Amino acid sequence: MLASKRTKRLKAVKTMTAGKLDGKMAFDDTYANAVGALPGANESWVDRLRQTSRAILGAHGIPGPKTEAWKYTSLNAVANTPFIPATKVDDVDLSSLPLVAPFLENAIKVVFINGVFRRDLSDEFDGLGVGVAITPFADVLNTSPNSLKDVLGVFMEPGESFTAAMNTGFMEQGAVIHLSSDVQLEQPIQLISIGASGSVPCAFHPRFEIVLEAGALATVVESHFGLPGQPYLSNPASEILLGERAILNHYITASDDSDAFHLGRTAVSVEKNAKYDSFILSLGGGLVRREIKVRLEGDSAAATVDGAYGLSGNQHSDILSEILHLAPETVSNQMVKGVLAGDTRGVFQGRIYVARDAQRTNGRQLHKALLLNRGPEVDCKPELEIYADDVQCAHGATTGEMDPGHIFYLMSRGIDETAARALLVEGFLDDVVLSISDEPARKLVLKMVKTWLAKQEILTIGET
Amino acid sequence: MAFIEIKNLHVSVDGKEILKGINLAMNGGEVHAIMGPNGTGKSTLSYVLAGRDGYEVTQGTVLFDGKSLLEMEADERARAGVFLAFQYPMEIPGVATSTFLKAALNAKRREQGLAEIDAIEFLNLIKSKTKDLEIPYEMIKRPLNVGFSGGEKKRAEVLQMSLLDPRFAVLDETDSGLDIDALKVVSSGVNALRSPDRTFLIITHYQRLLSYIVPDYVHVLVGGRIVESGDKSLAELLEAEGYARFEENEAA
Ligand SMILES: Nc1ncnc2c1ncn2[C@@H]1O[C@H](COP(=O)(O)OP(=O)(O)OP(=O)(O)O)[C@@H](O)[C@H]1O
Ligand SMILES: [Mg+2]
Repeated sequence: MLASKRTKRLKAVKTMTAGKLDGKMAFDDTYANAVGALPGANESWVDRLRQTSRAILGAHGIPGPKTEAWKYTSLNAVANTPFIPATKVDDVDLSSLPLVAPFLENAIKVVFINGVFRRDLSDEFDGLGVGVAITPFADVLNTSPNSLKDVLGVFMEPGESFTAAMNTGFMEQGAVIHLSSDVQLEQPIQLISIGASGSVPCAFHPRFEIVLEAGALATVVESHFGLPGQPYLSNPASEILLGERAILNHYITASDDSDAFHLGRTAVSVEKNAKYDSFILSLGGGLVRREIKVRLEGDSAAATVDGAYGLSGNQHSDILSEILHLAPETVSNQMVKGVLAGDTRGVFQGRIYVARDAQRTNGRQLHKALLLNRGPEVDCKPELEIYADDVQCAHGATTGEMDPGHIFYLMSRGIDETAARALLVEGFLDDVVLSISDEPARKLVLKMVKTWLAKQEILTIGET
Repeated sequence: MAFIEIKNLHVSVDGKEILKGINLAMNGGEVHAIMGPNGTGKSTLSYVLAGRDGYEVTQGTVLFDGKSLLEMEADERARAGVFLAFQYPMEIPGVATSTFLKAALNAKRREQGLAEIDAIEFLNLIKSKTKDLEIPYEMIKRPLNVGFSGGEKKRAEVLQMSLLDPRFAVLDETDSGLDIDALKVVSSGVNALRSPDRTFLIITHYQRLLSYIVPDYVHVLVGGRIVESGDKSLAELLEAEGYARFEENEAA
């Protein structure tokens, strides 16, 4: 029964092999050997999943500019850094942690340092009530891997995404969140993934599996950040299955250290009348790539896939979003706003796909970028692919500088130019942040935006 | 010397001369009204006084309390006591009205060497001001002017004025968009602010406003020049006759 469901789903997802890749190698045999045996390795389907993913990595290497999905983002720096698996890192100094951590008030915190689960730093999460289970991913792989058969590797598509292949090939630790039918968890869960390289650059691949059965409700915040030091590669992946009428609020904050690489992916399947409500905040990291693929599988399934990013210095941010309307009357909303200063580059690739049967679908996508000087570059590639005839789909993109009229309005009230710019930049981002439906999460994101702005020298640069 | 002295002010926009030699002296406590046909430069004058970029002063001076106003940045002017109620207040998404009001108020307080306003004090201040102007208190939680109706925007401008307590206030068509009741509320708000050390320059198309806020002087601005000045009866005359008389002169 379970197996057939998995097979059916896998078929539906139709994992495609990636096109011609012009890759270099990293994460080669040396890395794989250093990783060693991983949890669940003696469960054949889990092992096969890893081996297939590694084979894809081996065959194609790290994608280069000829791969469409990586046209605007170079992974040269990742390829040229000799990462070691993070589990081999000596213990790191966590004393500065409380200063940088974007903790969510009131949340059940599950903490990972370099991808390794830290029960000592996490909240107690056993006994949260009937039908709520948070379990370390490695424990599940070791003791009851088959409980994940419906979801693990079903939606992640290692053949389509380098990010997914790398995570799936080396996944070791993480968390599994499972809510039974009609269970509503009030308290938010915060998955906290902290990067901190020792004397050598390290890489880690945390895996989060979230399953909400029919009618369940939860809020999950993923916070990725790091401590200064050697560059690290954070490669998290979240695979999410929402049963009928389930509601998941899923908010990701990525504020990694400025030397760090972050390559993350979210893959979501939303069944009939279920709702996936999400936000991505990306503020840190040298190179950040966030991928999200949402499959609206059932009638009236809905998704909000909003986001905000702020870039300064030499940062590079790339958001790749795919929203698939696969059933009638599905709804998607997407608004992503970015602020760019310095010599940065922002990429937004957004695809909305509407299948032939997905009549009366409603899809909206908007990307807005605000340039604070003449240094940054924005690449925006929206794509609508519609096979149904009765649909309402709209997309738009704007890239512009700050409105001098707005600056004048604020200055005419006595606010100096720097403060006026700060207010306007904050307002530009808050405009989308304010749509986060969960209040504590909204407050956290607002605070992170404010803190980010306070640190930036970007705001004075535009002066003539 | 008058509190505000505009002398032979010539202003061009994109190389086109809009103001062609404005002379106007206003004393403390006076209310001056400017009327004139569309596109004659009334808003241009208001922007130049407030310090907006893009207006090239080719000749003339403006003295504000003896200081050269044109050499000051817009924010310095505001902190020195100049206020412009915009003809078209701008919508600023994402910036809560209350955040903006607090920032403006604190900028002024810093200038005066005062500490930032205490949160409770600010709240009470806003509560009483919004009540006076019959503005729903909830409105100040919304993004600045975003989705405000025409009349709500104008009330919000007057709220800002009353909060910032300026010494020289320019009101550019603050009456347009206000319904009959709101016009009375806003006018009595302005009248309440009339005082010997505050000067008003009120730009309007309608005599109705001036029957509530009775001006000391009325000026007619046509073709970038003040072509006639008088007392409040001039406004009544204009209401009856229009600008034809002046425009003929202008063409001649
Ligand atoms: N940025 C600009 N570029 C070009 N022309 C401008 C600009 N700003 C103003 N003007 C022109 O200057 C003239 C005066 O405009 P202004 O807004 O001052 O008129 P006004 O007297 O306030 O009119 P109204 O009664 O309609 O508000 C108009 O002809 C207008 O088109
Ligand atoms: Mg005007």
